[in-house]
Amino acid sequence: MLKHRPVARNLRLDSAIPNEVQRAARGPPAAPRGEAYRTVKSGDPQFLADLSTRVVAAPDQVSTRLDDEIVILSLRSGGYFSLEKVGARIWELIGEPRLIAELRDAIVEQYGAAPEVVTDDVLELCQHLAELGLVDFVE
Amino acid sequence: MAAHARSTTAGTDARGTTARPSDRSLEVALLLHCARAHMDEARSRLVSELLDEEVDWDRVVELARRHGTVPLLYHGLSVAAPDKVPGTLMTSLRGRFHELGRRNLYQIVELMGLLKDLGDGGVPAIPFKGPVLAEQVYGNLALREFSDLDVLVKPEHVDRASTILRDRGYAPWYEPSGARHRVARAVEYALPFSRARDRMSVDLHWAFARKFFTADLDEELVWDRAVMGQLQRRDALLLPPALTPIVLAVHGAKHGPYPWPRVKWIADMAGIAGITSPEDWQEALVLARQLGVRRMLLLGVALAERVLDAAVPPLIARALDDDPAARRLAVDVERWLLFESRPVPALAERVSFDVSVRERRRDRVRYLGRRLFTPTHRDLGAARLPRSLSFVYPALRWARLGGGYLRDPTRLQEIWRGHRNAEAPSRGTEPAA
Repeated sequence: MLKHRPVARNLRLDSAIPNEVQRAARGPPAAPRGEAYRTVKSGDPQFLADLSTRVVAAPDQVSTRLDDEIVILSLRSGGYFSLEKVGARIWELIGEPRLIAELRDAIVEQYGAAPEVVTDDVLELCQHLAELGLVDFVE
Repeated sequence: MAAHARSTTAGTDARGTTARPSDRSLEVALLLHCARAHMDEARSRLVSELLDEEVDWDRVVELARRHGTVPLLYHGLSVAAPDKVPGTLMTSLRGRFHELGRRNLYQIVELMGLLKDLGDGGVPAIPFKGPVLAEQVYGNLALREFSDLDVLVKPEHVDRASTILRDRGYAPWYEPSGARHRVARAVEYALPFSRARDRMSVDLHWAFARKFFTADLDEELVWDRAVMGQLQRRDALLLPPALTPIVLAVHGAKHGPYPWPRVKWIADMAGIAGITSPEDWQEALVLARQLGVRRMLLLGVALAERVLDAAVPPLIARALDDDPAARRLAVDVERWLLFESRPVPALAERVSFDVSVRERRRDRVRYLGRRLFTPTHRDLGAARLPRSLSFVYPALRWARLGGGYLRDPTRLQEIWRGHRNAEAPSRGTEPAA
């Protein structure tokens, strides 16, 4: 399945919300539960993630599951995004900081796909999500 | 448990939960089985079994809309047996579920923005009900329908909070001035705001119910116990766990014309019953006794048990055994809840409920006295008085009511007895009175 449908392509921009609503909602996010972490690259298109990069959902978004789909509302862009199936599973995993290698392993285990294909897809998805400001790369 | 004592027309699962008690229609049974945050295997089997019968799907959808459980209906059916539901209906329910999910995301973003603006303006605020329950009870924003945002502020901050809401584009539904403003603040508990451009609504609360309903549930008690928690991974002031079921119980009991009119509220209570710790239940019972709302609290849990087969914490089960009136009231409320045709309520029935739901004699007397003399919107709208004459409104209320009934004595009789709707109930959904 992954060979034919890279997870990054599951990410869709659905629609947008008014700017004033986005601006007003951007309060200081709460510290994540557990160990504190520091953002190293947030939405920097020049930063290339690899398997040792740690990734976490960005604070400037809200999301919910709708069937097999996760719908994300970005407070930065005001856009609704959706992730399906494998992408949705990855999104659930990055509620807490995770190494991309851990994401790859989890998907390989759950879906029984070839590790090399999953590696490329997961890296591509994380990079794409970071460019949209939906995830942060952290240490 | 009372709900388990019913005769059945369908199967029974291993725990004794019935697919369809004989006094419930197939459609109501489906609605209630699906009205929960989590569908376990046993419940799914019951739903699947019911779907083998001939279902009036228009009726099911209409009921789910009325009771605010469309997302739960969709979720329940899709977990239990989606293949047994007409494809076009599942597509339609799915569309509505996704639409509500996106709308709820929008509303939670607006709530976070409002809380930030209130905080920046020096107004501490506690969000409660809809979005908070969606996260705490359902674990999924899309599963709990909510059409407005409820925010509690301190009474002295209401004016400042109103200004902040106006700055965000909201307008109040009404703007009392002079004595009416003073009286409205004293007797009301919230001011509704709406924003036309995106159909957003906010209820700005400074209390949870009119003073005559729960005189002792005052704001100081709430603010002294408010806790810092998380809402969508952000810090937020929240109601303490022990107070949440009390607030839900009072909200359900105070609602007119009938108390607890929507299944989604009972699903909330069932969910809260499941996640509240024994220690918090203990505190809730002590607090409810102090406030004189213990029976209201027990009624809420008894309804969750009776209507949705919710598990009752042992502590509450013992309290229910000690106060059988709560379960008796739950029988009445269930009858009103599941009426297919909503009759105009009889004032006599309502007053009887309001008196019976209080466990202390002094609260009953106080309720009746305050109910008689507390001005309503109609009283406030009847005359525009200067602030110094605000004490006249209670007398004005009596003059207005007395004048109306003297002109038309049959009206009083009708209100007291209620207008019974002659429409025949659908099959088996209107239990015998």
